[in-house]
Amino acid sequence: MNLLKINHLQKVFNENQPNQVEALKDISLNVEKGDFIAIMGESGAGKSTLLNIIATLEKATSGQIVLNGTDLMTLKEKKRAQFRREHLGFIFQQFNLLDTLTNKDNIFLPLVLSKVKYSEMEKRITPIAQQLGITKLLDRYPYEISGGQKQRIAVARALITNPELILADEPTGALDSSNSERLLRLFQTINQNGQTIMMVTHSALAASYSKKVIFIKDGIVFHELNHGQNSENQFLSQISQAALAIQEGDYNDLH
Amino acid sequence: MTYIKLATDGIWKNKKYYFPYIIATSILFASNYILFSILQNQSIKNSMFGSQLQGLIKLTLCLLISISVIFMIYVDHILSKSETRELGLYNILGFTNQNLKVVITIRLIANYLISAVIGLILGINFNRFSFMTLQRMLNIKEFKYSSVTGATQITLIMFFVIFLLLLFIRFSQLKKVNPLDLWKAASNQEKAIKAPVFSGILGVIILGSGYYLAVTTQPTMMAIAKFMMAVFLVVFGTYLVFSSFSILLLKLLQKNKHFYYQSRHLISVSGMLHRMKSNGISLASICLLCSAIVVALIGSVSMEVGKERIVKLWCPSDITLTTSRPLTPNQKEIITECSKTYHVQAHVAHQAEMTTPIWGNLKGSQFEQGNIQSAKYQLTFVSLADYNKAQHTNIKLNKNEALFYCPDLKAKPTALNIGGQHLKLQSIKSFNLFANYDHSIVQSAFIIVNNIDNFQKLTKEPFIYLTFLNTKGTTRENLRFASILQTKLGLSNTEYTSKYLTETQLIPIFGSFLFLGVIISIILLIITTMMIYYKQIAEGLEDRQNFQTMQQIGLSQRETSQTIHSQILMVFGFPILGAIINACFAFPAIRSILKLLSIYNFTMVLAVSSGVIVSMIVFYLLIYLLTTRIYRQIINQRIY
Repeated sequence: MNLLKINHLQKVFNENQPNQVEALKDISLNVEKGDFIAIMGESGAGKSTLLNIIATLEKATSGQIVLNGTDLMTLKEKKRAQFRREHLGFIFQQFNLLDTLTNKDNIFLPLVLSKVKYSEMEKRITPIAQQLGITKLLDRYPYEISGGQKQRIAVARALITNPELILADEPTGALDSSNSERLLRLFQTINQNGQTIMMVTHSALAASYSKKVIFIKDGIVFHELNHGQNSENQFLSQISQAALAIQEGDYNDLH
Repeated sequence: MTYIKLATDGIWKNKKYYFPYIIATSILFASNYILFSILQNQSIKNSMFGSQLQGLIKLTLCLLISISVIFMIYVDHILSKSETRELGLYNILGFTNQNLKVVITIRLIANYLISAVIGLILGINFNRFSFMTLQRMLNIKEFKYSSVTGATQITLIMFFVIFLLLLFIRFSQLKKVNPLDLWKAASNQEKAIKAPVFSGILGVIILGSGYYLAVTTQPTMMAIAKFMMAVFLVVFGTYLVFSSFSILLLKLLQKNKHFYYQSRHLISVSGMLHRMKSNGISLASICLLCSAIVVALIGSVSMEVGKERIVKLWCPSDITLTTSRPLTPNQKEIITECSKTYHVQAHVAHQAEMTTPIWGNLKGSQFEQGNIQSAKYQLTFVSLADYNKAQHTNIKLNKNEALFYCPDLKAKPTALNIGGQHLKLQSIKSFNLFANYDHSIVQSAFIIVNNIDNFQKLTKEPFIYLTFLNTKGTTRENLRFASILQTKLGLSNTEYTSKYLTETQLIPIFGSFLFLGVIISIILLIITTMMIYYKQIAEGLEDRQNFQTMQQIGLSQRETSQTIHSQILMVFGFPILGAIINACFAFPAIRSILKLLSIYNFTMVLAVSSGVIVSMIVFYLLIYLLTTRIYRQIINQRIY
């Protein structure tokens, strides 16, 4: 089932000004329900802009973007915040947990914004906390736990609203390799349970955990790789080669 | 050169913090300068009330200097916090502590020089203005304005010392941290705090006893000392209550799951709880500053408004003679002669024989004689004959019947037991002989009886004879006549009261009270504004990341501003509420002190107080609205 449909998406910053920048030229892609997609590209390729547009934090200049039947191009400014908290889950590189709240309250935050009852919140957190192994951390504060633990709290915060799509922006960027691996395995498990995930990353290793990798360069979708029946190591080397080829401009190998 | 560039660039980049700070410091500089130059003015020093006025100014200066020091340390702390990241960066890039010290020193010197120059310009310009205001208020023409170089030097040196102190504080902070800490200091990693139940209870007890003292203060000689004690307790109690009780309250709110888990409350309650330790103290300071402004204004404005009443009370006629014998024909001759010489038509309006005042307190209908320390009333007995003559009436009284006059006593007694005698009292509405001729600090009450001989025994003092003289003529003629007549009659100051002379003495005293009260209030207002401003900035910086995270997760712009408003309203509601409560409890004490100065008029003091409080609230709301905008701007500034 199709979840996200993007057609000829274009994003121009500072339009009609001397310093006009075309961040996205022409992006088209489809995300099916249950996908785990990694978006790769160099700095400035436009991947963060794409993520921000899907997250309704920015508006595209032209094109079509529909998430589960909602046209994000016409979504009113006032409805955007509500849309975000009801349909999307976010995981950030710097975790973005509130130091003033306990970990538990951090996880509750999107539900509180949606005015969910306290008893309902309690009901939802228990299975998620067990799955992520964070039950013991709930009453502590974010500044009292490690980076890997913080990111798991952030995952719980993203999951608790049962979002249609989880958007992760460099989720392993601030983690060491063992914590990164643990997080990515967690993503795989969540994905196997039916959760759709879109992840922006620099790291070929991180991307190799996904089902599909999309390469963006100069504002267009440059290349796609499917995990398919490949082993993880094979997939990783495919990704690395493709990334290198794109970086060096040696495109012929790819097609 | 690099240092100077780094230092000045930093100031320029942080101009949002530096600009108001420099303005506030300049104003403090100017105010100190003005007070110093008034203090050193020779013509004031040599004037009739020079030493009293100087004493008052010295007191104000002490207050002002301590405010300056506290305020500058507070703001500099916030400034240095906003700069930690920058300095940390320089440190990582290879600046040694020594290099950083140079940058900090240049910054502080720049601050000092800029505020001193602006302060001096402001000071010199406003010095003349405030001098003229003072002169007009005091109604003394002999004051001469002169620019004083001594004041410039003292103020410059004083602020230099304060800046040295700031430098010392900054250096000692620099010593404690390593570069990594410098990086982290900007992120807020305060430990969650436990509710300090004990100090909360202690605070309530101290505050309560302060309030109790204030409310029970009686208009006796002890009033001022008692009020000072109450002020001390309230200051201490306010700090304790704000820093502990607010945590208790927030913890309670947090425990109430239904309340706590609402988008508005979750953010504001947790945020406030998070920084309550430092927050409590600054909120208490804002509360006390507001209370001080209100009290200072109520006091000085009431005195100014009540001034004429005091003169009237102390000097019921143009010239009042209080002698131990009736006027002799010789004295009457002198008055007539003197009035001719000075072209002042003087005539005797009333004459009466009275007992000397009897000190004591009224308990029901029982009058308990007491001493001057504890007395609230002084009773004076007048004979019915003198009363009828003065009022042009023909009232007759039975034995044990008496007329009673005390305009500021609300519940008039109907009976009186004094010295074993029982009197049935009938209150009267007007009394031409009414006077507080001995300038007593307690309320005067008059009792008119057939025969005052019996009551004279209570005081064991001889009778006194009051003569009310009314005069016509210009103020100038009257002044000359009044002072010459006193010499010619050979009467002491206690026996001789001239309205014109009293006015020229009282107006300067009351004028300087008002002048200093207004100056103090203006300075406190500026400080309060600045404190709120910096608090908003500091909190905006702290909260920015939180709000932006929440916006990413799904807090709309509208919900953001609603949250901000409810949060700030809660935070800033506390101090003004506290200040109003403080003012309400201070009201009885202020009234008692004003009574000592013969201001008994309840409605007037109440009107002045309400006016002051309402204007304070309006002003506070204005500051709140203005600074909330700055807070919102900071929140919506993108960090990346």
